Amino acid sequence: MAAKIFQKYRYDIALESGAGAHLVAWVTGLMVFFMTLAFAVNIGLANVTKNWVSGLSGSITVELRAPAADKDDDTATSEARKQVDKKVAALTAMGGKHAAVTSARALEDAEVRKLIEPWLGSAMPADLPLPVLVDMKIKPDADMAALKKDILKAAPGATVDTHDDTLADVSTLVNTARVFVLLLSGVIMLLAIVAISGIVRAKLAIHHPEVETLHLIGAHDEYIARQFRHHTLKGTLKGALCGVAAMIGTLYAIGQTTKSIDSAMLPDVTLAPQEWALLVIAPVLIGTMIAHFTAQKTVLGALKRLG
Amino acid sequence: MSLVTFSNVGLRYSTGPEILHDLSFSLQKGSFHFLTGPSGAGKTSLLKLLYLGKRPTRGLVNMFGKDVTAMPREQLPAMRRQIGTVFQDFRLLAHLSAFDNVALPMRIANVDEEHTRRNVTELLKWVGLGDKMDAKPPTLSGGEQQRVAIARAVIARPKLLVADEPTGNIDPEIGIKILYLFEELNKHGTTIIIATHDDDIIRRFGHPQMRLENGTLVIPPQNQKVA
Repeated sequence: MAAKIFQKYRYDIALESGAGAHLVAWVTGLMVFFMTLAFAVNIGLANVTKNWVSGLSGSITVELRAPAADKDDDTATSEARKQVDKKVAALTAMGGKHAAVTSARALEDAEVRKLIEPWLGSAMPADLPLPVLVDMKIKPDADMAALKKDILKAAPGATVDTHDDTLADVSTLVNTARVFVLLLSGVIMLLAIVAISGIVRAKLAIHHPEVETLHLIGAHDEYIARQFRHHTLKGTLKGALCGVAAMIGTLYAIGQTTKSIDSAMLPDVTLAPQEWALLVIAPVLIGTMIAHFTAQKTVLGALKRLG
Repeated sequence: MSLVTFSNVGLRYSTGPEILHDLSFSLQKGSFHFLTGPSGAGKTSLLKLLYLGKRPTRGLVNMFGKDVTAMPREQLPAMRRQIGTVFQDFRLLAHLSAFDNVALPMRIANVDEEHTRRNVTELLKWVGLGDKMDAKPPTLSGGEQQRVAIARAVIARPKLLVADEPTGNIDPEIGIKILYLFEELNKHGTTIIIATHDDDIIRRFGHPQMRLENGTLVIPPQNQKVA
């Protein structure tokens, strides 16, 4: 079909020449460029949320305050350390025994350092007192209140983080951003419709003598509209392909640039092949259809008003 | 049998004065008339009504057995395809070749391309433009453009041929040849009306005249003389 569209088509109206002959391609190109960006942001945000949610849900983190070092009394420090280790042992033992817990594991110091690295940087002092974190995988239907009680019984003074608040905040933030991006896509489409409709009207005005001649020798509106439609579709396809190619290039460049930034704060956003396919096909398809139907409706409406 | 009937037809452009007043006449099928009259008498306006470029502001126009005064615009293209028109300003499409300009009525009517190609080639050769089929109108002389316009008007063998000064820009010899072509079409049943100032042509071919003066028909068609 694409080959048929791009093959030499005989226009009775000189739509391929003169000022503004390629305006539709430019408008569609820009529309598709921004739509692809909006789609990419949307897919990316969805993936980030998915990663965070799947990483956090189904688990709880139990935090034991770091044993305070007593500079003057090594025995006191050692005793405090023993107390913490005892609590950790009690908590990890729950992994195999407690009805609500499938596994429990104390995080290594290196893992804890990695978690706080985004806030404190990588150059942390070696003697920095680190909290002890126990990661517990829990069953989906776990009674959280009872579990929390048992945890505090095994490790008095521990803090239990079920991540619910964090997950809710992240979800709200990301969902708001996604709605905003969708609204932005809607505005882009609306602007494109207005612009394409204006371009088609201008073309009709420019080529009015030719359109009138065709009418006078017996052409019906559909015959004339078909030429505008074909011209718009051709311009749209060219613009859409260029727009999507430019955006994919931009996304690739952004990906390459951010890859070299070593920051634990930046989430890892990787698109699956089917998401890349969606990113290429959907904006082109939507952009082309919008331009095609806008041109059709505008031309037929304007021709009808010509009388 | 009347092909065209005008009853008390008047025409005005927008809110301006009435250009044509109370025109009542009929054209028999197969008739051939010259439309004469001084400049500004309303000849082009009358031709516009005949080729359905305008609709009357009052009165009734019946063509091919149908009232076109209040006809829905969707039905006009089919009516116009039965009318061949040679416009005073030719109205050729500048970016199309002479061949494509002449082929337009056939392509609009969805005639198959092979048939179109054969007929257009033959007709362009006949009007002396066999070697200029690929030329674009701006590269042709006024006379050549007029011949392309004439070829476009007759290619689809219309029921009614309306021509506004068709011999105005061409040399007399070609003009006479064109008139013979019109006569040939007329013999095959096409009703012809030609607006002209050319007295030689009128005398030479001797077809009846319709004369307009100040928007009024002072000499109506002579329908008793049908070819």
